[in-house]
Amino acid sequence: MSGAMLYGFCSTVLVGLGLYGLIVHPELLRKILAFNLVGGGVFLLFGVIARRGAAIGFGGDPVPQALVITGLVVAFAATALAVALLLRLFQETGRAILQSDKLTDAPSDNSQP
Amino acid sequence: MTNSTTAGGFLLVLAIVLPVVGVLLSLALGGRQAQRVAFVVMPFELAVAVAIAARIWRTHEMLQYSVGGWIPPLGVAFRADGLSAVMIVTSALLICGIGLFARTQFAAPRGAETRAPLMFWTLLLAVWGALNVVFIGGDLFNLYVALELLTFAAVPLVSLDGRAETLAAAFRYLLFALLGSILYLLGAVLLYGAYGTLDIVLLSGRIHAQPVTWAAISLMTAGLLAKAALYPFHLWLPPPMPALPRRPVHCCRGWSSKRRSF
Amino acid sequence: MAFDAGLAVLVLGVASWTIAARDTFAAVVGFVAYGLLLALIWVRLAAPDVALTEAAIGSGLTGGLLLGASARLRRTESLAVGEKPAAALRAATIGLCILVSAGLAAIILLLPEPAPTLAALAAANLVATGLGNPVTAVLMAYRAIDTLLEVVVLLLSLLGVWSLTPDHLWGSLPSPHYRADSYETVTFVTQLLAPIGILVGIHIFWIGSVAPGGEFQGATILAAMWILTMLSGLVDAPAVNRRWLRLLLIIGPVVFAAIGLAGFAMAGAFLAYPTNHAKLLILIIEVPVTLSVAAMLTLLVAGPPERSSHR
Repeated sequence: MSGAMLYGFCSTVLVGLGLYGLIVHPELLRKILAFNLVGGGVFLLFGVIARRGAAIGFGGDPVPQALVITGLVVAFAATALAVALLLRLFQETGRAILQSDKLTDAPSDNSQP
Repeated sequence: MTNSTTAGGFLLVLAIVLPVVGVLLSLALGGRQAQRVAFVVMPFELAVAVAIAARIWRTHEMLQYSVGGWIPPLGVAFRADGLSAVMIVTSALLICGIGLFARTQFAAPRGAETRAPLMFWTLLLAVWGALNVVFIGGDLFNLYVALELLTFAAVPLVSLDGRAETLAAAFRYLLFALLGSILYLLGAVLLYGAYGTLDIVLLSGRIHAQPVTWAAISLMTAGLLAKAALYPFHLWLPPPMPALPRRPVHCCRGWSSKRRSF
Repeated sequence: MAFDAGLAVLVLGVASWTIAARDTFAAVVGFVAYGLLLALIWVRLAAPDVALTEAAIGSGLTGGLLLGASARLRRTESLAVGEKPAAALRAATIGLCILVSAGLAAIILLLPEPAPTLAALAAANLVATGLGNPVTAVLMAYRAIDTLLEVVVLLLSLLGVWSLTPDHLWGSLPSPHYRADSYETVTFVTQLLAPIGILVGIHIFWIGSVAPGGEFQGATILAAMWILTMLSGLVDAPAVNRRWLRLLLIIGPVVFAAIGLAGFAMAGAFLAYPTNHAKLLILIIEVPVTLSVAAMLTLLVAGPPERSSHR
């Protein structure tokens, strides 16, 4: 099982890395990327827990594995919505970052890329 | 507490299935019918909500339903007690109110299908269904899926008018909501790793104070608070329409974070 | 063990590259590579169904989506340079993240041994479902409500993407128009690959009842083939107000919910299956769900409508 524990630590580092990217990057697309890393880490942790639950000739506990599959699909749906929102925001404001102050004075750039 | 289906538990299933069917019908029939579909679903769904509350009031017992006949920990259970009944009826009344109030603003157009009416009525029904899953869900992962459903239904409602400010607000909302859900999921994952089940009632029996439990509960609370703390962002949203659905969302999140404290 | 250590280090290295790279496009490429390596880790964790899903959806479709977005947003890179946070904030964030990772790692070490598991329960009830793959049994039988809600979540995110269309473009076609040129490599590859890909997708879906695979993995491959034919210009994107498209999108969840409701009569509960017909019913659900999910995934990658004609 020590191989599984190794991947468990890998997952915690992924969560930390993703959290760093989420906070530090101003570009929204990088934030979305970093968020996917956090999600990957959490799912990996669930997978490690599944591996620890191996029994009855199964390589792992099937319940967490199935839940990770559901989670991966939901994460993709979230990414797709976030990307669409980001591209629309770019169309309306011409920038792909969130201003910390008001957005109302941003010049509108409606030209298609 | 036995983990089996009580009489009348099927009402819990209806409370979730009706709005979902409404969403599917709206999409299939096209935008001009979306408002009509919503107005057909609303009275039935309100009736189901009242029936659930009436049943719990009469029998003074929790309503339970083991979906698919599979009993937790392998299966998923729906449960409704007095508090859930209050939340279900409140959100039903709120959503019906919103629907009546908005019927002119998002009225079905005479010509071809247009974006805003189709989206508003469909997303409103989806928010309703998601809220009901949150109120009656008895399984932590089921709740995670319900919270994501709620987020995906609520975010486009915020940005429905397509202006730059609402788009930015919607993106901020989405990012915080996603972060909140993933923290919540992390807590749920740790609880499964420690106790081998995601069912709330079974967990409350098995759980005991240890570092894993504290970590899991703080993560889940932090995640839910991150979603509830979004309310201040909407104070500056000018149009009142998209902001109205936020209220049931946030009162439910405040409630569900209280529910987490075992 | 050495292989596991090497793989873990490699994954972390590529993930760090994804965070640290200056150019967003390079970061996304790194992300795709990270996803494929992650799929290898899933194989090492004895979860082949998850490995398939991670490679197809987590790395493939998500990567495609992000690559397209980063290409469109290339011009904004220089605008963001002035917004980068100060070194002090970065240092504080690094500290916070190290704390979080270390805390999580400590918690993981405290997880109970032997680990609690539902494998025995899942195995014991497998016969009643008529399936040979326990993961599929969890997805389609024990926790079918999660799968039903998940399909609804996918549909909702598609609705959300569509809701971002400018009003005057409503009802029209998503994605830019790609013209098919029979001398282009992508056209040639698509003409070769698409039929094979469709067969592979159907096979992976079919085999999911007894071996690793299933509807989501199969649907992703079908979606990938559709996207490929759209990218090469051989097929144009469908307009979002087409009736057939709407019906294709909802047929999966409708059949799922219908059979679920029929479960009241047939087996006494919502989403319950009578024992001797379980496998057949699950199959009847899975076929339209696979088709619907394939359509949803394709349209999610295609994005909101942005042009009004086939030109």
